[in-house]
Amino acid sequence: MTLSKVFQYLASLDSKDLEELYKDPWTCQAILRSLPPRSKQYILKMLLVDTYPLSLAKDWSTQASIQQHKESLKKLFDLKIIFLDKINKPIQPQQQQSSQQSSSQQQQQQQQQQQQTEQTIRLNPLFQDNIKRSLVQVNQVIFSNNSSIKDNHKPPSIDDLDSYSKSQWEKVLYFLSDDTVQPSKLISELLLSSNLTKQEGDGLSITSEGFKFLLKDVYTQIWTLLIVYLDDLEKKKGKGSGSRNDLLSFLFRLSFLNLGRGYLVSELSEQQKEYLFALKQFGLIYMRTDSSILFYPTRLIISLTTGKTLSLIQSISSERTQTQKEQGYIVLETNYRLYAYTSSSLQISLLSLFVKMLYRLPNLAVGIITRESIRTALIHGITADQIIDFVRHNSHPNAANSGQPIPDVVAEQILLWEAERNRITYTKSVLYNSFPTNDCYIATLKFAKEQDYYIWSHDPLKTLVVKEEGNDPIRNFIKKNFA
Amino acid sequence: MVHVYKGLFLECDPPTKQFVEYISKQEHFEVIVLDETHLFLQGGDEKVINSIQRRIDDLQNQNTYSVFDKDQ
Repeated sequence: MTLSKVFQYLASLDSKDLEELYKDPWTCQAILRSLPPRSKQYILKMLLVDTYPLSLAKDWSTQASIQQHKESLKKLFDLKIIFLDKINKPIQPQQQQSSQQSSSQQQQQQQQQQQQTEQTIRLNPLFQDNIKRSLVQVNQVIFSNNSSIKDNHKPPSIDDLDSYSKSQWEKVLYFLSDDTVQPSKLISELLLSSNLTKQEGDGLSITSEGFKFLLKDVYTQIWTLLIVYLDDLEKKKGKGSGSRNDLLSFLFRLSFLNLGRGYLVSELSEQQKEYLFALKQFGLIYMRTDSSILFYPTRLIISLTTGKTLSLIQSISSERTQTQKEQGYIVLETNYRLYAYTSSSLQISLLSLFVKMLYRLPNLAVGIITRESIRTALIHGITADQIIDFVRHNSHPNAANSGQPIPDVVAEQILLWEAERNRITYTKSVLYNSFPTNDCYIATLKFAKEQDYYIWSHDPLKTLVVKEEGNDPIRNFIKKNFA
Repeated sequence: MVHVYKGLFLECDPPTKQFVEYISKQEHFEVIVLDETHLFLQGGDEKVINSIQRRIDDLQNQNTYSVFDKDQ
């Protein structure tokens, strides 16, 4: 299981930043909630103890899953949630030994003394305190939703919020997949600085990274852009300003709000208000106008830190009643025909990246996978594996239940089409031949291998091929030894 | 004295190697044949590689039949 995007990001922060983050109780709760089940259990096991011997922690898993055990612990180490300590146990004072004690006995005592060192693990105290406190406190308030203040306008329904966040986020994806749609200035800047788009002539065009981005799940996409935004904040406002940590904490707090309930903008700090307007453009926050009294979290922000994956926003509200498996819409046949049971133009636009679309009906689109359509995708930097994973991930429940979301014949053909384009591999290099003596050749060959410049050689022809950067050192070697 | 050549070291399957040799005569770039799957492209750079890649794609396309592609 690979770390989700946000955990990779958190693990890349330095210790000081993580310490700052863990001062906020909501951040600690959000992180705990987002962790995989095994990691959660380890934290809860250690919540009420100060230190725990590492050797005893092995008992938390069976021998068969020792690998998962180690991976979970490493994850928690990387996030600075668990620390590793070495403690020297106090040694019992021993009776004075006679001076006639043999040296071997002295060595044995020395070894015993060394063996008293013990590795222990403990929770980050900040994290531990915040989780403990949240377990015993009730009536915790994140942001006020005081009902005594009446907004004059009818509050949005949950369906309204779902439609809003879907349309906001789809603007971003539409812009990447079909450049007739214009996103806001902030989004354009983020897409540029994240290398998903690039300046080309008067407008922006999508990069190969952008094509890959389009095929990822929604929360990975959102976190990708948020991380670019966080990094931009760090650059603009200067390191140490704490603005990145402020936004991270704000995001984690927002994920605890209730869907469909309005919260007072006036309760927020000026900094948080600024962030609110940025998040609005992602579809994470709803406000009727920029001067509204209330803001409403959407389902996207609430689900952002739950660790879920959502393949595409076919219908955000369907997440309430359907499982992940039921969200698929693609049927792919062994004759390469693909049927997409969807009315979403965005989904059809995404499929067009690697499928030749033939017909568009109200709730069904028909296409075919051809060599040319796949090659077009390959040229844009999308890989065969990405295409195959995308179809598997979005396969219709009927196709998924039959155990064959993508027919082997199609999957293998896509891989073959990719291999067609990779028939030559090349390396910048330098070739030497016509060595005057065999000794000269053998010595140079040995030198090239020792220095890791070697690529290829052929002894009967006394021919040697080395990396480009090895040219000067090898010429010097030959001059020095065989000139 | 030792002869030195700068360029690109190519690795590919035998039929492709034959085709690259064939192209090199037509387009006049120098290749040193090393063995059945390796070539050395003397003075080769990105531009020459792209040219070879294009020729290989063309060859591939000539040997491929597709109903739908013809319709475009």
